[in-house]
Amino acid sequence: MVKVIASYALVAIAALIFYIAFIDSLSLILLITVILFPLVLLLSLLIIRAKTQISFFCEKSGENKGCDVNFNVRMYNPTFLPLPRVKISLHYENLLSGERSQAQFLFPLHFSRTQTLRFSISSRYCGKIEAVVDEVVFFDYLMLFRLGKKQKLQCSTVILPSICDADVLISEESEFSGEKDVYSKTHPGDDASEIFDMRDYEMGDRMSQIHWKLSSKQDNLIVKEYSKPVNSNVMLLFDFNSSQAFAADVLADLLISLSYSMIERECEHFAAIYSMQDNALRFFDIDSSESCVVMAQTVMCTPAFEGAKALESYCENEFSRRYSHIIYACAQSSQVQSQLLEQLAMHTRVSAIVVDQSGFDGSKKPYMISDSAAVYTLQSGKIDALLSELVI
Amino acid sequence: MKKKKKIEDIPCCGGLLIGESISLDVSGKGISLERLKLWVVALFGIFGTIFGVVSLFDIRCDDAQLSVLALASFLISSIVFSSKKYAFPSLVLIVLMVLGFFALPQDELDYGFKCFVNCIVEQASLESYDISGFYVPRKISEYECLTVFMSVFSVLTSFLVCFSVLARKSFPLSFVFTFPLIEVGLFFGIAPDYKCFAMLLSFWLAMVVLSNSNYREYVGSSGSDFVRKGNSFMPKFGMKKRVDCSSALCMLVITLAVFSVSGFALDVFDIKRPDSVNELRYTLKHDITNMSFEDIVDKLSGETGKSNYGNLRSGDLEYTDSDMLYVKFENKMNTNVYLKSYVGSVYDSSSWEEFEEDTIDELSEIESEFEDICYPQNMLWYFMRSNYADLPKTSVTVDVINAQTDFCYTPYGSEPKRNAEYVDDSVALVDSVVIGDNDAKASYSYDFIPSNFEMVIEWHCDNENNKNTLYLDTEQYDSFVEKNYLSLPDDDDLMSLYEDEEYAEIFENYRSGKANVYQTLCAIRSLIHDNARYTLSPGEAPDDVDVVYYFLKENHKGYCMHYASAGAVLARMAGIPARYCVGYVASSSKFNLLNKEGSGYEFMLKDDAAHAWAEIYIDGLGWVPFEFTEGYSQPSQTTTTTSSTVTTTRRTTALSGTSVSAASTTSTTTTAPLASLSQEPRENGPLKTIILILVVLAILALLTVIIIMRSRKVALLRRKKSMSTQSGAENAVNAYRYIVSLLEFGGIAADGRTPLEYAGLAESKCDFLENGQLVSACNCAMKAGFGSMYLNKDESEKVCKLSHRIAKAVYDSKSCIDKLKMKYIERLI
Repeated sequence: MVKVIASYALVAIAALIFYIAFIDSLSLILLITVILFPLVLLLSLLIIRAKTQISFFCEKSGENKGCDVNFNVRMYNPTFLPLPRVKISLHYENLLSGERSQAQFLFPLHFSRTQTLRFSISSRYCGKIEAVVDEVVFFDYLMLFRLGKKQKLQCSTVILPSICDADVLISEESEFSGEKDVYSKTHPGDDASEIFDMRDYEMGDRMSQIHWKLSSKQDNLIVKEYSKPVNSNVMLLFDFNSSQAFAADVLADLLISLSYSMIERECEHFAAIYSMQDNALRFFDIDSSESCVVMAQTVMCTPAFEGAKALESYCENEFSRRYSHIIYACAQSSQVQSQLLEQLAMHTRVSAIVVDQSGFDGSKKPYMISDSAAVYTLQSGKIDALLSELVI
Repeated sequence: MKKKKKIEDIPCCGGLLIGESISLDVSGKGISLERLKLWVVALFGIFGTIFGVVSLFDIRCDDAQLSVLALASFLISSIVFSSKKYAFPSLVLIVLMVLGFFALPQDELDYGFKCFVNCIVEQASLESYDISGFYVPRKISEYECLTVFMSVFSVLTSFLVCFSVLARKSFPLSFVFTFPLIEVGLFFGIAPDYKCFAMLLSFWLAMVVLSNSNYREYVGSSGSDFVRKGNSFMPKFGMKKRVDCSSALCMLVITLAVFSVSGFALDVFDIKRPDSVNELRYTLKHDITNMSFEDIVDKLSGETGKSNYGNLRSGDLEYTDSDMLYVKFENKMNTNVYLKSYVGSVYDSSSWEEFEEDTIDELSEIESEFEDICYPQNMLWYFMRSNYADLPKTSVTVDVINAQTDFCYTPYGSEPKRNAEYVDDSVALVDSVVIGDNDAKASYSYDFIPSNFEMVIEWHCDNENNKNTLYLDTEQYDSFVEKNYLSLPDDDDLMSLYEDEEYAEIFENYRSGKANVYQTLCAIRSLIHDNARYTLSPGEAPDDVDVVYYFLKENHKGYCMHYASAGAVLARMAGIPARYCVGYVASSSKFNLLNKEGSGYEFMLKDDAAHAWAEIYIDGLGWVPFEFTEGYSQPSQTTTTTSSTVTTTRRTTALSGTSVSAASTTSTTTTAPLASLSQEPRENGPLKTIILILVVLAILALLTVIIIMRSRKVALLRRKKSMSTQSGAENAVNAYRYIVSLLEFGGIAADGRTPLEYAGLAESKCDFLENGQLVSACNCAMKAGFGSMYLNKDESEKVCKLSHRIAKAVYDSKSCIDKLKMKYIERLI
């Protein structure tokens, strides 16, 4: 670009010298042409930039690991001027694993036609892939000017986790005991002994649900929503605390596989992961395969982090809640985690799973020592072995 | 050369990969016209070059034949160079064949080449170069020979340009093949035909676009339209969906448009080169031409050399059309008026210099012999006053615009001024008055008696009794003149002129008294005219040769500087005191083109009015100008009127240079050829500008109308096409879209309604729609568009017909302005 501008400046100087040296009016015409020319080019470029319509879309909403997902940048230049070069800069990232990269595409822009640039992205690890077009740059014919069109066009797709279809062994301790003291945190139910929420009256609500006392106070009909008891009080607490993409992938696979297996065994349960966005734990009441999918969608775009935030947050805020079994999984373990798990294990049954990253980053074997909790080491590709070993 | 590089490893994280199979799909891409566009670019280059050269050197040949041959070569090239693999060997073969053709002994081609060189030499004014090797006999038809040569040139140019465009798409190559001959012309200041130059310029810029869009090619990515370099993806060299040729064609059109507009603007607004630019050019050129190692040393050492006014080795002369002096004459002049500036007294074989200090001191001692103000410079005034008391006096004001301010530009026969100062026996310095109305650096005004001084000399010489009618005692000054104004350098070449028979005869005639001063001067002038030809580009005299000798005996070419020098030197050789003068000439022909404005006749003297002449010292007359330059001198007509028998009245009329009181008696108005001095005044009234602006506006309006009509036609054709495709469903959808556009133009906005709601609303509002008709059409379109269901022909036709009916109804319901808007802006009907 600088080279071209410098070259053109030299041409302009040459035209000026030619104008001084050459008496005929041709030299003046040439000089005016040389001066006017960039302005005309700039004007045409401005028109093209203003008129060109750009859209960005993905062909599939979800795909398996390692498979290509096609992304399309569609451009329509309604003018009669083609451009030999247009540059699109974009970046794409796996929200779960945190992998991020960028790409640039140089291509011609046809006139009065719609053109589609199609490229594919594949990922070895699951997660939500988000691609964002950062800038579209238009170059004039001589490459003297470059005009950018800042457009935050984005689209995404999900690389699905690999679900391991293994039978998990569910112990009687984890089954519903008869006393419905564990209720869903996310869904209302029919158990009148526990109120889930209060809200305004809506058509179809039963009369018995109306909270008359409160309604009279607020001069508005308020109804009570009852809680939903769950038949199991197993908690899957996951810390996606790894800088390694594969570890997050393994953890996601484990969480979805475990949850899905439990649902298949009609074992409703809870799951909690730490959300960096909310800076708090996010709970999921998994009572069906649909709710399992909802959880999976959230997990896919939850970025990994450092430390054991989920476990710490749980111990800090939810310690009073009683679960029959807490299954804690993380990618990196530390002494702090061991201590917290020890505390938990004093009140409830705890199983800890640590991803073995030694084969990947050369680190030491996972550190997790607990007298009270059962500790498992998860090796990549061996989720089924773990699930068959694990007693819930 | 294409650069081949290996693909770099992808620096991305291992899990997230961007595939290398990248494609660019373009909708509706029919027949590719890219090749055709490339041909257009090539044709611009070929014809621009061929006819650029033809126009540049004014080559007279068969243009039609050149065009046909160029086209034929182009067609062959387009086939030969379509395969890149064989392009270069083919070119080599072709060039060898053409060169072989050259090598064959063919008189016509050989003479054609010589004629071509002669054309270049003639146009570039290179006569001083030895081109005797390119002599063409008179019996040879120049036209035919040039046609043959230019035909070969056309063929070769076609092949070379086609190779650079079609096979290589290389700007440097195309530039190398097309520019050099044009450059030769431009270098010598010849302008090619503007159209050809515009073609060439647009061709070069189109080639820049083609070259720029040649991305580097990398190895790999065989299955993709793109190649990879790190995280960047760029189109492959052979990518078919590229728009290089379209872009090049666009560039071609834009360049032509900009060039034409620039030329047009220049013409309409009458933009001229400012004088400052001309001056700058002249100064630069002069400095570059005369730059020498000695000058640089002098400049560095802070020494200033001699004045450059009398330098006779300044080579070719070129006018810059600069304004130099603005003169205001009280009366119309019948004779040329010389405005003297520099006077060269000492000739040194290469220049005319001022006196040395010793001589000036000597001069100052004898100044006392003059009475107060009657210096030799003023003798002419007193002579005219004393002998021709009835001659009218007139005045002139000289404003110095860009001329040197060292001088005061005095006319001959001017009245002595009280504030005058006489320096170096030549220059009369007077106080200048700066007038602020035309950016004058200085202004002088003189009263003078305009006369044809050649006649004065003649009359004075013919009448011995008239000598020293002023009764001045100029003995000391006369001896000073004899001592200093007859001296010549001791140059062998110059002295050899004494031996030359024709020169010696003139000198001898004067010395022996067979010829008087005037007759001798006339004889010298005739001799100079016989031996030399007037030209502005005589070339520079060699350093070791006397300039006058070189002019008279070797080069035989020169301009006023050479003529005046030769005249003055030969006069000195004969024994007549003479010196060299420089200044400006207000040609009498100027006055013929002017009408009296206000108090007199005013005009600008450009640099082409600069002139050199000789001054002759005549006892009793003082210093009188004498013209030796061909075309400036005005002898014959006046000599016939000056016999000893003519009456004083007639003499007075003949001598008078003004027509102030004797318009009917100005029979002696000079008719000498002064083509180089006369310039047509240019009339550029506001009416012309207004007309030109109106014409431009009319053309623009016409273009706008054509564009609007054309775009409407295109839009209508597209719509028609979109409703008559093979697919009935597509036709119905397009027809329904058209209906919606029509209804929206009719004032029924959709405002977020569903199609069916909108159809219902439109039916209720429009009288021309029957109940359920539009809803039915809407259903058809939805069925076709969203359901992807098969739609039979009747259904689609029904929707199409309805669209036409609605269009007509909406059009009929609108006012005239809306109708126009609907037709030409919205292009709905």
